[in-house]
Amino acid sequence: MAPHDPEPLLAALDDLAAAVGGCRLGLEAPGAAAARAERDELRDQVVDYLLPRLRSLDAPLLAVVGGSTGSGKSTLVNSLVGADVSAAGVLRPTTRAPVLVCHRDDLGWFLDDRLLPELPRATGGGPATGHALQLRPVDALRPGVALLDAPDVDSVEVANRELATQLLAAADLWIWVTTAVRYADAVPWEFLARARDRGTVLSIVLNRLPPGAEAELTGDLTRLLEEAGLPGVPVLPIAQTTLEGGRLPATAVSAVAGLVDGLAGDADERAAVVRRTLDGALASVGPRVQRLADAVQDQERAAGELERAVDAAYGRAHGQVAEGLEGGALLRAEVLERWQELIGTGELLRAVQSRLSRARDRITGFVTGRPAAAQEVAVEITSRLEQLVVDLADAAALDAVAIWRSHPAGAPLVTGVDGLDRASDDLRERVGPEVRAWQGRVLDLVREQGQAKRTTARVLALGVNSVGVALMVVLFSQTGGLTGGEVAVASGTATVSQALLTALFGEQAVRDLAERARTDLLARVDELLAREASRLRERLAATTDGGTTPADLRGALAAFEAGRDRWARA
Amino acid sequence: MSRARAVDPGPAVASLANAVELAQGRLDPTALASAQDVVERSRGRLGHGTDRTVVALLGATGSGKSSLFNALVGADVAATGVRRPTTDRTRAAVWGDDDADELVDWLGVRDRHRVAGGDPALDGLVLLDVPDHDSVAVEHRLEMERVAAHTDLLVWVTDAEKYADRALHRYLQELAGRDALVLVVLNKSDQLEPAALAACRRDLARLLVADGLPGATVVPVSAATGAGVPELRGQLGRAVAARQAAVERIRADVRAAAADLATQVHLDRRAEGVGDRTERRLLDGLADAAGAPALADAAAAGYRRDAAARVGWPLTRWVGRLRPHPLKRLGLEPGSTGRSSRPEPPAGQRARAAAAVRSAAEEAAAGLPEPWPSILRSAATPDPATLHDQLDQAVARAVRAPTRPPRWWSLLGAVQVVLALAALAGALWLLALFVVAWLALPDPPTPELGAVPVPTVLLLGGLALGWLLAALGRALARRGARRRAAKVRAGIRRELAELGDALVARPIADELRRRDALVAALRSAGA
Repeated sequence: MAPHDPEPLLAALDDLAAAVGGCRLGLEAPGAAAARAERDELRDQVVDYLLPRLRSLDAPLLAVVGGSTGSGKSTLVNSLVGADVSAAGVLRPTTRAPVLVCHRDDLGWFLDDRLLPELPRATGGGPATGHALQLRPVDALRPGVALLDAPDVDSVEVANRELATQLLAAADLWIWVTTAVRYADAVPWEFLARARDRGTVLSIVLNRLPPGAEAELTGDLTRLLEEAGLPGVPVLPIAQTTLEGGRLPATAVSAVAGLVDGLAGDADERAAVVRRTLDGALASVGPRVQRLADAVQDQERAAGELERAVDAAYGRAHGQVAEGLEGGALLRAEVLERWQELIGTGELLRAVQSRLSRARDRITGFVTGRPAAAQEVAVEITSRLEQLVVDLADAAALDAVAIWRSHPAGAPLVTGVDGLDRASDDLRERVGPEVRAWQGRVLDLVREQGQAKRTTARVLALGVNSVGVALMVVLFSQTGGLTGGEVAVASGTATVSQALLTALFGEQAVRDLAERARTDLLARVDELLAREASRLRERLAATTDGGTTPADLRGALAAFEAGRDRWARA
Repeated sequence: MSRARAVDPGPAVASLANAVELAQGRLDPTALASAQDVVERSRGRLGHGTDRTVVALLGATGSGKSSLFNALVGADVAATGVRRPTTDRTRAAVWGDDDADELVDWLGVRDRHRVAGGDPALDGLVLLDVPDHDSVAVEHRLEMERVAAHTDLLVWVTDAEKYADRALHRYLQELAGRDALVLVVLNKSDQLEPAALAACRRDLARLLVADGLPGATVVPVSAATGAGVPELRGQLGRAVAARQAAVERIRADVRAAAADLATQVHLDRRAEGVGDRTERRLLDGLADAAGAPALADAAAAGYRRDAAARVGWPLTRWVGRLRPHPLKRLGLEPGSTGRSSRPEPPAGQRARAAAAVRSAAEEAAAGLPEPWPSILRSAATPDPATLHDQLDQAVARAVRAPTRPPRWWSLLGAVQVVLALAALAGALWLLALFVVAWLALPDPPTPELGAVPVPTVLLLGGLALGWLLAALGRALARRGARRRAAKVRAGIRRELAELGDALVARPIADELRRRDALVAALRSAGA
């Protein structure tokens, strides 16, 4: 293997960038906003800087000139190259599009899209438009070092700050410009802390030093740098002076020019700077990915909590439907009584058991004489079930949404959406057909059973509908468990119906029938409730599904660390 | 004074305080807390009189606040320097005859300076030199925010280098709409060419418009050369002379706080309230949940049974008594007390009651956006654990209401007894005749009614009439039972209506009245 063969590391980094970019972080879990920024920055740095830099370690050194608005970054770059390559002026923020200046021979390195591949390029001399990277070849700059004039980090233009962050992440060297009134500003120090954490090589230009205060302010800044954990960072002073043709005189910028020239002239020094920043950036990847993985885990935890809230609410609803079927009170007493009056009394019960034919006569008489009775019970069952399911779905929606509302990650998913905290408007329309389909299924069951038992004739004589309704009545009158003949039924009605069915099919078969009818009904209710719950689940899935998992991230990180170790040892 | 005095802000402050009180537990607590802060701050400021004007010099580090402070005071009171940040404590300068100690104490400022023999136009000015808001020293920012909140007129000092900083405009954006209270000083004007200064000033004005402060005045100043300082002094002098700044600030703060709360209250929206339709549907839901129809049926069955026991044929009427009384089975017979012995209602019925209450709250809230439906819902949501009990008690009261047995029961009952006795007498008489005939004794004289002997008439007539009367009694009982059922139904509805009123309608109406009061308070606070 050739020394410094970066291919395995590059492949691992590619995968890592994809994994990092694939983190969804869509939920407003605690720290999500910071994690999103971390994700974007990390991915940008890998794509914009680490990959291209690893591919070509001998590419020119890119020094990014960054700092506050109005600190004189553009004026400094113009003065260093002796040409007006970047617009300077009193209006803030001046620089919106980044300007890259380099020697003509180095232009090729920056023209193709190895470095900062996603940033559009512009080479024309015209005015800067948008955020395209302006490329300006100049003769005053020696080959080997390129300067990038970045937008500010602290003006009202938030987009500038984001672009500057991206550019600074792609730098081999930061030339940070501040001024006598700026150097204690809070925002720039946040950026300097980032350079410290990532091991980026850094020089600070202290601009507009009032006469006589150079030593005091340079000392104060050096002290602040030490306090911030950045000891030994060179501070390059520029005295306050009047501009000559919009540029600083050569004497004023000599210290900065010395830094740039020194790097341009000394290939070893240049390589050392490149390598130091590169190593620092590579070393920073691990902790950053770890933080990201933690954030993704927090997201999963939050998603799990929301998911469980939905499960619990609709699970409760399902349980209450099952309970409602068992309690024996689903059907109104008066309807049951009418049913009982119609199909018989206690005496009839005995008659049914002893002499089926008599029962058949009675029932046939009722069926033919008053066909509306079975119909009435069926309608009653439909409307009661409809009511029960809609009411419970209402309650479940309210419960689930209340928990989501009180959850930081759940609240944004449900606020401003009307109707989530009650059953869907069309639920009632969907329950009715479902219950009727179930009743059809019950009749099918009765018919099948009739054939199997060779009792078809008897069933037909009684009327499939009546037998089916009898089965439903039995089902809705069970009190806990199906215990056949010795069941303690709540109302005599069920006893009559049960006895009738037992006489027709036998005890075991009735038990099976009731169980199958019940299972079928609960399955249908389950489906209806699942569809209700899916309104919330889909909202959650829309923000969480398909992202990188913490395990993916950690796996990609492990592969990257292994590649980095091998590359560093080679 | 020529200018009319602004309206006394006291009532607006009181209204805001009232609104905060009314909105407690209903609106976002952070917004309420900051409104409460405004109330307390305004009361504090009003307590020190509005004749003085508190002006703060605010701005970034290195903008020259302290230099400007010295230039306005006319003496080097505040330390200036090149090291950043320089000023770490707020300093006050007081113009006028008295030292305004109490006011300065209230502002929380220890360092103070009396400007003796100063410009009389500035009499009544309290000028504050405040730490910066953008340096690494976080405590400066906190002090600056505290002072800015207590100040009447805010003078933001910036310069050509820092005028577009986000740190500055973040604060300016918070002051949006209070143009009259904001003055922006573009310092270090001496370091710019006139053309550049003009361009800079225009750009700053553009940013101020974007911040929502189109009317804020921009004053170019050089604390170093003194250029522009007289103009600034003039501006301050006018503000001091008008003695309006404190009042304006309070009014603006109160208005902003009220407007902030109003975004959650939606002043121009009205609730439907609990209407007849809602009440009827609530009643239907509660009646259903309470099992009203079954109870009415049971009451009717009970009536029929009692009637049969009283007016049925005396020889068989005891049979009915063997069957349990339908109301007694439910523990609801007249004179019973406590809970009924009806089983705990199933989930479906419980959900039905809860749903009826909930949809009543929702219908009442129609027309109001969140959080009001939630507020009304929680105001009207009865405790599910006790709801069943309350429903049970309500229906029990209606069913147990004592009823007097109808008079026709006793009448028919008595007639039945007479008829039965007549039949019995006839039977005995006939038996006696039979015995006499069997013993072959001579026939006693037996009166006859028409061609039929009286004992036969007594026996058969008594039986036939008794049967007829029993049939009549049954028919009458059926009618009476229907009436009784209707009466129980009506009684249940009456009781449930009252319960619904207490559980739902009244809490909702109370809450809506509270909201009306809140709307009125916010309006009079200026929202």
